[in-house]
Amino acid sequence: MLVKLWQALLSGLSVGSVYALIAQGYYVTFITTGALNFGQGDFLMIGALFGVTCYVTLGLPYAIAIVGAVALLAIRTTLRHALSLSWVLSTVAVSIILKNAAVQIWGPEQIKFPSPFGDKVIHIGPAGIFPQELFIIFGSIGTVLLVQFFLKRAVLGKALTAVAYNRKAAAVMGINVQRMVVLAFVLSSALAGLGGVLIAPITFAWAYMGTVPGIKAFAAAIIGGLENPIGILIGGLAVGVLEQFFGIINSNLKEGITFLFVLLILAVRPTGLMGRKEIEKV
Amino acid sequence: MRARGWPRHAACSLIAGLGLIAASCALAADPIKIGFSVSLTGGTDDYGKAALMGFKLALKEYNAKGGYKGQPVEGVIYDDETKPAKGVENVTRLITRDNVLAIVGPVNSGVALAIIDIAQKQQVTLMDPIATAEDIIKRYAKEPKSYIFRVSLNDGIQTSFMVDYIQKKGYKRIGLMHDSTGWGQSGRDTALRLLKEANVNIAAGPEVFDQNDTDMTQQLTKMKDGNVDFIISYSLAPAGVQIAKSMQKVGVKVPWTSTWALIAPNFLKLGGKDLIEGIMTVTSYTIDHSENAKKFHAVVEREYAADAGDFHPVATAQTYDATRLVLRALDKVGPDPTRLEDRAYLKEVRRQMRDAVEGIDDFTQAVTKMKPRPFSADNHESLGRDSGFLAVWHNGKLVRAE
Repeated sequence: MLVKLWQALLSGLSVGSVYALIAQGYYVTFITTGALNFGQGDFLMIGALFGVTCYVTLGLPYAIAIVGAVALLAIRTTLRHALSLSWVLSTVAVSIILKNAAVQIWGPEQIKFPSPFGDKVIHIGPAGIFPQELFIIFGSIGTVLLVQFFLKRAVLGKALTAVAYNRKAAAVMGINVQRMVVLAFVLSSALAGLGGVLIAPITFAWAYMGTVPGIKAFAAAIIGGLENPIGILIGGLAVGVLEQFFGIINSNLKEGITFLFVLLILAVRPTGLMGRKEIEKV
Repeated sequence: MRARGWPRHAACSLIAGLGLIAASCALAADPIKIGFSVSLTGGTDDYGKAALMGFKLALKEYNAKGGYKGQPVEGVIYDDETKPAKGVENVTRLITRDNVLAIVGPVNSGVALAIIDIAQKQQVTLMDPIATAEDIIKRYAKEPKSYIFRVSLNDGIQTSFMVDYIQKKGYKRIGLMHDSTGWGQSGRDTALRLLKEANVNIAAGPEVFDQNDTDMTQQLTKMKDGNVDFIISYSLAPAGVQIAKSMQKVGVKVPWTSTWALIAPNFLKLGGKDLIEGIMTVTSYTIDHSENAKKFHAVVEREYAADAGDFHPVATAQTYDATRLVLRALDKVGPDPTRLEDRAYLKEVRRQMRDAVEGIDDFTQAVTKMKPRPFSADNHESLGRDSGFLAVWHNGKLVRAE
């Protein structure tokens, strides 16, 4: 039984850290604009497929593929925002467009994205894990912490946090709110792009790869608390591990359990596990 | 606004009216149509694309020999995106708007189970070239006239090859896994039944997984705990690769097979030849099993050279035979193309098409292993127990499993 739990924990952490990474994107845009970037899962897909083009087709190093995918999405989002903001409202439509575009460019089939770290299983105790999965775990957690550092310490990040805290006051203090909103979307898309290149060696890269992780990440964000980044990190990991744990009992339970958990959290703690309690002033 | 809008509205109606007249003129000269609805995108698109090759080849050859009474027969091709709802939409459209005489498709069992009801109710022959769920044929087998036919190895027959193999090799502890689609579930039921009939013990499972799952360690740990010596897993190519990978994680090293899902070229591409070494699959056709097959494969290679050999030979061959059976029936019925606009006549022709398909008894040029009389009143499965075998991936090639 212990062996099973240990394997489930390892597998769960690797799946969950991806959810956590995508969910951070929801968080960044939610706190600044109050909107959810529903294209998150599909930006991940674009990142992964662009990564395939860089890494597999063009033979560039993996690191370059990562930077390329992140930059592509960042630039793309900036351009879109330079033109208008109404796009925010159409992110679901955009996600459909992205899927169809991806099918046109890369085809509908799964594409193999060989892991730069090889395919040899690493055994940690009695359980096995692929080096890429370890990389995903550390990469995601590292990125989440880096984003936190940026928001709390860097001037630009502080400005973003200020906008999130109080839009009007931030504007009065001379912060360009519009620009910060754009930055938030750029950041969230870049996170998704990074996620795509990280997970593609495990999930394969294909046009529909973003849908389910996108939804699961959203669940993770709800569970952790949409306004608490550390909560989201824990929420993401929890969703991944929970799925695997329930898989031990019965593989039928795996899919539904996440959403059951979301309902439970919403009923008991509507602001999420680590969300601030709303205080009603009378 | 209203005063200005009205004449414009009238003008629009006029144009639309003219368009309708033009459309109905075009209808009179319409060629005879055969419908084709398969998955060209989505989970089973590998099969759909290969099936499309077979469909187009059959039509092309037929039309090159003069077509139907000098007129080329037209194929109306739709993509069901591997979604049952879309399949239903396609078939409804083929029957009510495109006025096809018969339909070839689909490739996905979930889609097939959703659309056979329409074909049966509307009395239009549905010739399924790929989908394997047993219920596709069984559901209407007891009706006086079933409109559903198949040129494929159904799950039961495929699973019986597995059970034969298990008995031949003397495996005692079988593990069972399946994906959560309709196909996976129906496969599970068949396997449970056949293994029980053969008195073979199921040591672990049935375990279920989602077709896009990336980690199968939980399911495989249970296989390991059950000490299985052979695994039957109803999984498509991507899930098959994930199973092979997760087996390395948990350290399960037993032979295993899926149905013919793992013949798909994408299985080799996604997994690589080392990972899939030794994994088994069912097949109904190899490119050299008969003279007809050899000749046919040469044509496929020539026609589709641009696809760089990215073939799914079995799917192409079965669809090629399926389409030719339909065209054969068309020749036998011999309808008057100018009268097909008349709904009552169209319906009558469609009914005759069904009877003609059932009665074909001189089909000797099949590329798959099928009898000259593939169907009869009480058998709508053209491929049976003697039409297939288990094959194993060895060094990136499929060879017969010994």
